[in-house]
Amino acid sequence: MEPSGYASRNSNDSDDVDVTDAVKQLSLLDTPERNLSTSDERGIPSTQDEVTPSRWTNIMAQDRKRVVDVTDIFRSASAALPIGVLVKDESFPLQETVGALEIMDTKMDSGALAPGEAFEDIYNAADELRPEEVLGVMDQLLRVEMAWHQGYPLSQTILTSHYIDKLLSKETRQLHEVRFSAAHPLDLPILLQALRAYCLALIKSCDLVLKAIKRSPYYEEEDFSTQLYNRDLLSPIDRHDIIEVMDRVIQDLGIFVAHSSKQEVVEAILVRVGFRKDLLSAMPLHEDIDTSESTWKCVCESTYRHSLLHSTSKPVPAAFSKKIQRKLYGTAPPRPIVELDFETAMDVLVKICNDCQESTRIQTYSNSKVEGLKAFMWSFSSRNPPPLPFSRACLSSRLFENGNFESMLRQDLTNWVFPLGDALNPVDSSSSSPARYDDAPYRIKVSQCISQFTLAATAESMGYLDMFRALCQNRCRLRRLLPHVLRDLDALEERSFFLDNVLADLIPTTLRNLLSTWTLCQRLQVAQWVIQLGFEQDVYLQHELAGMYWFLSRICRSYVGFLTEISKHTLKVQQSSGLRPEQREQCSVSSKFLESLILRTRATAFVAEGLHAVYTHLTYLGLIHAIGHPYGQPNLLFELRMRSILKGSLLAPDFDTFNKATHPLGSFEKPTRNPCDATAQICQHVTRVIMNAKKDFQQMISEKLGAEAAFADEVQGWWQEDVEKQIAACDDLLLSINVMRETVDGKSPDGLSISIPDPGARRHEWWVVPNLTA
Amino acid sequence: MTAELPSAPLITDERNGLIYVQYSSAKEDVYLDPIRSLISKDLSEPYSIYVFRYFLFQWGDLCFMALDAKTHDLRGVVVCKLEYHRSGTYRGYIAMLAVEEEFRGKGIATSLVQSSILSMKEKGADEVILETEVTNTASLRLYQRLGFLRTKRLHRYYLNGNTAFRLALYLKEGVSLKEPRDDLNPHMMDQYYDE
Repeated sequence: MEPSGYASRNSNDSDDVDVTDAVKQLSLLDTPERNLSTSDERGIPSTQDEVTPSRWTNIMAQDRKRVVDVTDIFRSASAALPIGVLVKDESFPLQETVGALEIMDTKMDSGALAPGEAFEDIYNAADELRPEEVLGVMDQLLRVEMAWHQGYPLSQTILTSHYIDKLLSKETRQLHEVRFSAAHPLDLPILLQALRAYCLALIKSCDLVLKAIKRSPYYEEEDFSTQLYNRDLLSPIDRHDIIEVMDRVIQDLGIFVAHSSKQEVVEAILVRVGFRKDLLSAMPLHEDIDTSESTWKCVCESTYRHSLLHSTSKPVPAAFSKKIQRKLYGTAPPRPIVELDFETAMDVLVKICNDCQESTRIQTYSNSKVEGLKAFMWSFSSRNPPPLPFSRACLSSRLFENGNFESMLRQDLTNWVFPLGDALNPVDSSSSSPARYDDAPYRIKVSQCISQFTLAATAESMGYLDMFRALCQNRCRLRRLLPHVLRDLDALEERSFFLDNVLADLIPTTLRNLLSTWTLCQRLQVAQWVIQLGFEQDVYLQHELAGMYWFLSRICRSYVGFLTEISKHTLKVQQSSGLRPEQREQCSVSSKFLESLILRTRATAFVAEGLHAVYTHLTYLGLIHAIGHPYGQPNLLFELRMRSILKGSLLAPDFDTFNKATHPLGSFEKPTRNPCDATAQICQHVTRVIMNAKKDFQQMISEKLGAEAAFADEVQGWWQEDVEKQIAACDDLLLSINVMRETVDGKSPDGLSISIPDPGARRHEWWVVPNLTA
Repeated sequence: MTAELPSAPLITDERNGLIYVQYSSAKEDVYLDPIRSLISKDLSEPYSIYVFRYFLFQWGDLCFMALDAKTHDLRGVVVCKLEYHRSGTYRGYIAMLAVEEEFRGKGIATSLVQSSILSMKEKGADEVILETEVTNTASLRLYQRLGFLRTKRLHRYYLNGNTAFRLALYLKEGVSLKEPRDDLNPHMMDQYYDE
């Protein structure tokens, strides 16, 4: 069932204005004498103000609109309906239904009060606080703020603070009007001025976080709540004005600290205000997205000071109230305040700052190293714990607001299939073409042809851009988006055949089907990722593991075939005469890149082949339960699985091939031979392929190739560790194989037991290596 | 007093003293409250009566109840819908499933789900889908034993921040070849998580 979503009620922020305006009209027109105690400070009447139909008519009449009182019609119509009948529009969706509420049910109706319950809690934000309490409130604010970053709504986090509520209760464009009380901010005691400055910076940084996330190329509805509840997070106010306020407060606090009897605590307050200022300064803005690594580095360093003296702080529980939610736009009753414990909040804060710092490194990639960029994005996405939406938004903004994808694609093609630089600069006299091709009409034609391809590939809905977009999402979404990329690349490949024919006429010596081969390679790579992410996310059931590893190995073997063809061609070009030094250099870079990629893909194929054999054998031995459920017919399961990972892309095998590969000894119930007898042979085969895989992985990380050949030198540590984890997974598999050989060979499998590690308990998330024990 | 049944029992489970019946809106006054309270037990925030009527008024014939054979007290219930999805498939959706705590472990949920799948199949459904929390092993096991596969992992799907698996079951061959339909009002279909 869908989330029991009160959240969905408030999903359309743009509707806020009308509703509030209507309510405001109500209060202005009809209740001039209203006692303030029955309304909130914006003049919105509480639900205790009864609005009768005749009052509505009166109000609307004053607004010069024609009003018809439908009460009687409605009553007689509803009396004619039998119980249980639903009156709804044809297009009324489930989500809207979930948003319906029952008036006066305290779990659904925000206005329903328990007997004697006050509508809101009274808190005077201008009351003086002791230094420990100011520190306490600041740390409480951090705890709710970090919960918001984790995906909880503003209504249950930051907006439950009375201090924040007071500052946001009036719409204003003047910073000095953003106040805790009627008193001018400068008349507040210095510590409250510090708290106000802290709150202002917090609110503004939330505003900038929201803007960054909303700018990112995919709406983050899964990870993040973008609802504002009709509050304006100081959006019109320039952050530099807030920074000025902070500078002044920092200066005043610096003087105050010397005279304070609680010097240490005031210093801790000073540190927190200083940190807020640094953080606010580092936040990306649309106009200056290039916040540098050093700015974030500075923030990261100051996060460690933020927890200073937390132990001496004194929380002020009354400074927060879930009842403030009643004043926010929406009908949901107050839900519990979500706050992390302070240590967790600090971890989240440090994590966000570190990830934001890391995200700035994407600038290193300019347009020159697309495979390096992909490696960087995978390393970013693989960070543990996973990056939160804000840091991912920082990454995607940098990429999509600065990146020239067409130029990136040209460089990518150069590394893959055009080592002589044909793809580089369209019709540029300085373009590097071999001397024998040096006549202009030829170069123009080649350039035009490649341009047609690069423009088509980088158009929306052609898959290439979406691949980078997907890499900025959370891992679950990445897995769900890549199949769409795959299907779009199918279409690109179709289009590239024509251009390949043109190119073949222009450069007879070149590799046939250059562009379509490159596209196919991208497809095979993406398909490989989709299957692998399925292992990581525990999507496949035990009885599917054999088949999915078989499919992975098949995809990778096919990929290796195409890569080898390209690689051979590159070597041939490299050996031809008449190359300029830079062309020779590019050939060498391309060759090494292809060699590294072939090793990785071949090793993947080997490990997958080994695991396919092991899981198939374990099913014959009865250690994995084969499917035999009422509705799960094998062909339907196969169709569903292929659809879920390929979304109709052309790479799916046919069911018969799949069925034969996963049933080498016929049916699991009646195999064609005793599976125990085949154990030695299976173990030998698996050992051989796993040893081959290890050899390939080791060669990948050898000095001759290493991270540089794979364009992963910027993320060398992550890259190397990733390969080493795969080697460790191979070693685990070899151990399990030995146990299987010794326990089962020729005998019954009774002595063998199996456990399959869950995500998080594996050497490498993409390799589900069974743990076999005797 | 024993409540009148909404329809003739489909199955009689003598061992557990239960009968399985199809819901009917004609008996809403008897069964809606017990259904609501049974389903709301496991929810932190209840669905309004409108949500229940949304399903039961339109697809009451896909709702099945396990009742005590003598008292006709409600022991378990499954609530579903069946409609065309944007992907072009005629898609069944298991929206809610609940069994009284002391009656769990007797296969009641499985029987209820099977009844609804059979009913959907009779009506020509192409597929059946649902979501369940990744940590709800009992629920995952139930559906997986029936032949459901996990097709998607949905990060922070629930309001409490928990992650879900989308589970699916194809009932016919060729479902994956169905073409997306543009003629449907987009509001009629699940908008979310359709990647």
